[in-house]
This record gives sequence, C-alpha cells and structure tokens, in this order.
Amino acid sequence: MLQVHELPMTAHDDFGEGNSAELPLTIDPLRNPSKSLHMPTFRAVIVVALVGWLSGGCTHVRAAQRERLASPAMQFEMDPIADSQRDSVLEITEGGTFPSAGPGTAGAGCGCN
Amino acid sequence: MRGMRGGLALALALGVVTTAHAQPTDPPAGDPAPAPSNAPGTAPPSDPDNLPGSDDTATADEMRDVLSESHPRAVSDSNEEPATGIVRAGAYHDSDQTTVLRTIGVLGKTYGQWVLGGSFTVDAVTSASVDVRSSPGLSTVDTVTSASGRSSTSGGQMTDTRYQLTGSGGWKDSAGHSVTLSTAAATETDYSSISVGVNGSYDILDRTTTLLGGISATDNWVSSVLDLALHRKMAAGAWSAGVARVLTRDDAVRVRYDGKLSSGDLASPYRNVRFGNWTAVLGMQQITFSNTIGSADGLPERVPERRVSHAAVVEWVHSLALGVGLHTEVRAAHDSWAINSLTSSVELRLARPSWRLLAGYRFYMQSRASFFSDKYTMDPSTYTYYTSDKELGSENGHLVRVDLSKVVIDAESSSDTKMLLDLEVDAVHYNYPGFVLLPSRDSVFVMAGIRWEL
Repeated sequence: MLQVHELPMTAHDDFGEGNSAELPLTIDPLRNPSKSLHMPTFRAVIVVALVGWLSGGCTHVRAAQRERLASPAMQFEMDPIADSQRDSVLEITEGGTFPSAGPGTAGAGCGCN
Repeated sequence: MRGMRGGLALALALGVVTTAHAQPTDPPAGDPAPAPSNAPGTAPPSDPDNLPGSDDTATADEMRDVLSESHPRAVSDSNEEPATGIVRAGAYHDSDQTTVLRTIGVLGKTYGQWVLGGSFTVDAVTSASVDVRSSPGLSTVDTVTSASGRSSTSGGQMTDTRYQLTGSGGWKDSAGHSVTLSTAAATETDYSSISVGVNGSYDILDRTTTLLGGISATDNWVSSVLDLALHRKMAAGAWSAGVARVLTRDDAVRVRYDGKLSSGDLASPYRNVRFGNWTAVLGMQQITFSNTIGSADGLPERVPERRVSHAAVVEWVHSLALGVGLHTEVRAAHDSWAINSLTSSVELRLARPSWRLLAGYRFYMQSRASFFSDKYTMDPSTYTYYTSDKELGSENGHLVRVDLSKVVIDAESSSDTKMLLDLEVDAVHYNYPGFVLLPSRDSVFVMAGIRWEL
C-alpha cells in the first residue's frame, strides 16, 4: 500500500513585497479536521499519477513515430550555448536562480556574487 | 571584480560553453542516441512506412535540418564526425552603468563513442554600478590602478577582465547511455575558481524515457583589490536528478530536481550596509549617505556562511507542426535563506533546413531573504546578518529573447565545411521593490558569431 507522509511544507508569500509569512500548506487536523484527510489523499493521487505516467501509463510512442519530436525545435535545449549564456546572466541577477548540475555543467565561479 | 554586483555580466561566462561541450552539435540524424538534455529517443524514424502524420505538408527533406546534420554529408566509412568550432562575440549593457564585452571560442570533436571539447572565454568589464558607487573603497579608488599599485583620485568605476578555460570528455553509446566529465577554471583580479562535474543519462522503456543525473563541485578563492591581506574561501556543491519522457508523437516532458550547497564566504568584500533611516544622494562617481547610525561608510555586509538551495523544474515541449515547437517551463525554488522564487517561460521555435528561429518570454519573481531589509534602522549590534545586495531582496523580472541561426555555407560532401551564423538578443527588465538605490534595471545582451564543421 502506498504510504504518503505528511511533510512539513512551508512557504513564504511575499513575492514582490511585504513581509514573509508562512502559508498554511500543512493542515492542522485540530483546527480543520475535515481537511486532514484531503491533503494526503491529494498527494497520493499525485504520486500515483506520476508513477503511472513514468512507468508507461500513456501512449507508447515507437521510435518510428517520433518524427516531429526529432526536430531541433523539439529539443529541450534548442541552442545550448545561447541557453547557457542567458542562464549565466540570470544566475547572478536573480537570488533564486542557480546553475544546475545536470547536463552540460561545471562552469567556474565568478566574483560577481 | 567581486564588487561589481550590479555588473552582472561578468558572470556571463559561467557555464556558457560547457553545455556546448556535452553537445557541440545536435544529435546526428542517423544516431539513435539522444543527447542527455534532449527528449528521449527522438531519433528520426527509420521506417518510412511508419511515418506518422502523412497529411503533414512538410516533406521528409523539410524535416531534415542542416543545423543538426540532417543535410548529411556524403557518408564516409569511418564513424568520425566533423570537428565543430564556435566563435562568438557579444556585448552587454544595462541602465546601471555596466558594460561587458565578451568573446568565446569552442572546439568539439567526436571519436567514435568518445566526445572531447574545450572552450576559452574572455570578459572585459566596465562598471559604475550602484554597488561600485556605494562601496566606500571602490567609490574613491579606481580599482584598476589600485590593483596595479598606483593611486587614483577618480574612483567610482571599475574595470576588470575575466578568463575562463573549460574542458570536457564524454562517452556515449547507441543505446542511449552517456556520461560526461567536465572541468573549468576561471580567474580575474580578485577571484579565482575551479570546478569539476560529471553527469550522465540512461534510456529505458524502449527509449521513451531518459533518466538524468549529475553532480558538480566548485572551489573559489576570494581576495580584494582594496585589501591585499584578504583571502577567503567559498566552496559549492550541486546535484541534479531528473527524468525525460516521450508522452505522445507531439509531446515530451522533462522533470528535474536541482540542489546546491554553498559554504564559506558568501558576502562581497566591497559591499557595505548603512544603518539608520538614512538618505542617499546618487552621484555619478559616488553615492553619499547621510543620517546614518555610526559611520556613513557603514559596515561590511554579513550573511550566513551556508546556503542550501532546492529547485523543481518541469519542462514540456509540444509540436505544433513539423519543425514548429512550443517549449514551456515552470521552475519553483526555495533556499535556506528563505528566498522563494517562481519562474515561467514560453518559447516558440521554428526549425527549417537552412535556418532556425526562437522567440520567447520569461517571467521571474522572488521573495526576499529572511535577513534582508530595505533599511536596517536600528543599531548594528541588534542584527546578526545584514546585506545591501538587491538580489537578496524582493525582485521580479521580464525577459524577451530572440535567437536566429542561418546556414551560410552548406556542406555538399564530407570534405566541405559547413558554416552558420548565430545571433542572440536578450532584453531584460527587473524591478527591485523596496531597494532604494535602484528601483529597476533594464539590460540588453547581444551576441553574434559563427559555427562551423570541418
């Protein structure tokens, strides 16, 4: 049986202005007992859907059927160099953006931080 | 120059070319192995009878793309692919008086299952940004003459040059398995850095799904042109895991988790914080503060020595027609300094045999760090951490992007050279609500270059 644990999720809602405050992403069963079951159920649905999708729960597309997907326009990085240059700018101008250790990594740091 | 926070473009080099190392060109049309960053198993169909979309107006030739070797050269007996070279030059300028001139060169070569690459990047930076003019040291001393041991009475402007060298080696097979090891080193007047990383991909489920992963580590040495005795360290480690999957004939999705741990000196040695309900006069050379608690120079900023960041990224590419794609992305991030950010973007892409066009828009917003304040109005002793870094405050931004690539010389045979022209234009507008010294910033970044295959 799939077990979904309640995670202590919190977040701040001060995008753009104001002071930070915690969002009530965790449901307190004492204050709102009717919702205490909904959140785990919702998460279970999400997890099951994600697992089902990743394990082939959608249309199986054979290699010979991937003509459109093979187009350069359909690659996640259409121009890796242009993407990485733009990303490197954003990584120092945005406090919440940082470089991924995923494909094509290991640029050296800089003194602009 | 570590003090040029406003001079964002210095870090343009960060990771710029290393991505290209892993993928100096797009996957060859005849190679069924997808690149790690690409949709899994998206090799062109090998069986013409199974071609989908027979009602498509585009022909099979139109589907091919010379930019990704779909105008294949004459087939040679060897497995060797052509060497790839890229040279680009560009300029960045923003309304915070920062200009960067950049030159990059990239070389890549595939030998059977092995892929080698390297790059060199030079950034020439000139800045009189708010960060420079509000720094007690940088606003009174020209940093170039200071670094060279000469005195100056001008100040309020810095110039510096950053050099970065990268190298990578990778292995891939025809079944969708790959691993790439990359390294990079960079140096500038007061900052040096080395990095190493490894990432890989693994196709499963009849190559409809690709598992992705990677780790990297960076070591940094921080010094100051104003204090030759200052030597600090900062280290960072990053990790990433994800999965890409073909959903339908027209759709693919990639889900990724990224993490990063930074430890050590995360503050700028040039950035100071003023206390009290201060006022400021923004001069062309220096920003003058008054009504401060204590010295008008303030105190060097203090931030936590450890920062842990997490991000979840979901990307979706959808084919509108053959050679026409729509790419959307949503990213949510949170870090231990309590910065939450949300990014969303959309790109329209066109790929034709002799040209490609990308047009996109990106929106970004973030909350402030827990210790960030517009003004620290009380005595400094009441604060554990304080900063004047606007990128740690509330921020939102809009980016518009256009990329264009055009084949200028096509290869008719294996001995011919194929050459392309690339043009990239990015325009960005940021708002910094609550940051008194710079409410907003506009910038534009233009790069042009050539790509060739020998």
